Amino acid sequence: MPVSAAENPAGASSSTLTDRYQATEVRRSIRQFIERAAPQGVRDDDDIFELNVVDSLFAMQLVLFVEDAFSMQVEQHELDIKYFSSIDALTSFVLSKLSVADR
Amino acid sequence: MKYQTIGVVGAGVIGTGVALSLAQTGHFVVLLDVSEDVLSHARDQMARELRFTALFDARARTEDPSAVLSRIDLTTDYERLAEADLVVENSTESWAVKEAIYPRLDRICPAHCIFAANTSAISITRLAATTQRPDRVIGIHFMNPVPQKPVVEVVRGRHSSDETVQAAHEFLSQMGKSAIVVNDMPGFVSNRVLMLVINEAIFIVQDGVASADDVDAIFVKCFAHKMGPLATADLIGLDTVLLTLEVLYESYAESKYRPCPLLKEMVDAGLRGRKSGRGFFQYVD
Repeated sequence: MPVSAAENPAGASSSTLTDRYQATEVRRSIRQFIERAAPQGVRDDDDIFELNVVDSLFAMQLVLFVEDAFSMQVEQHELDIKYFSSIDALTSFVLSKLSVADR
Repeated sequence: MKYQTIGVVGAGVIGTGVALSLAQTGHFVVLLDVSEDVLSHARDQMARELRFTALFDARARTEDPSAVLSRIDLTTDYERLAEADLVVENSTESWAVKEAIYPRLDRICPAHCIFAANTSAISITRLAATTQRPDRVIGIHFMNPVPQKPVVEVVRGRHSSDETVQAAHEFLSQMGKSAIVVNDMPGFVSNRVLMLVINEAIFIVQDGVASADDVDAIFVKCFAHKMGPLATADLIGLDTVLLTLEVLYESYAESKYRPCPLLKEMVDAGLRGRKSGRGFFQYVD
């Protein structure tokens, strides 16, 4: 199971420079993809589905993007909209998956 | 479960959705199409759709996707429908296509089998007349995406029996869905109204009154609709929208259903909406 943002090693104060660089890059890349569908702009903590920034069908595109961009497989049990609903949530999700993969 | 084996004819966008929704609710499905290519695409589409369902439905997160897909038998052989309790027909929205399918189903399917026409606009009574069982033909108009839409429009044809209407209720309830029953005239309620709205929205874009973005924004932001008419058209498929308008135009001999020239041009240009990556809007895949 992915860990929450609070437990995310990349967000912790002990994080290394590489971790912080990776976190920035992941966030930038996610933001870029979402903005292609939401040119009006979106804040990091906006729930893009609640606010109707994108429609629900965009969620699957987001899943496929994450798998492709970060070379990861999102498992069936991880397909929960809460991990995909904001730039913050998705960044944490991706970083936690990446850090698990590193170990 | 009373309706156990369900035939689904036509593996396009909506047929695929119906098959998946049935398999997810424990039915055994025979999904038939004339094209192996379409079936192969349907297989991929359903695997993706199962993942999509999980995003919004916790139950789908715990279910093994391969177990669900194993309940769907994809085939080009009509004879496989010989044990179907009910057939949902979702072929192309064209009288010529459907007219050929129904007599064939009538010959192969068992006598108790009910035919549910999942048509956008073609009269159920007219379809029923091509079979020897007009009392067991009814319209079940599923909405897209099928697994996410809990309510459907059920259309009672001139000869649909009370038992068949009851059967449609029971069948839909097995799928976790419910019905609104209406009478049969081309386009029923949903598409008789919706297609006019979509067509007029396309005329507005063609006439330069407003951009596609602004037309839809008025429906979404002013009327609080979930989706504007042009995004809806893209979701349905612009080719299907055009065919549906043509059916309405012919059925009522009524000029208000004449398809907007811009719609025809877009379909000719291969801009068929979401399924082709582009219609009034762009879709990243």
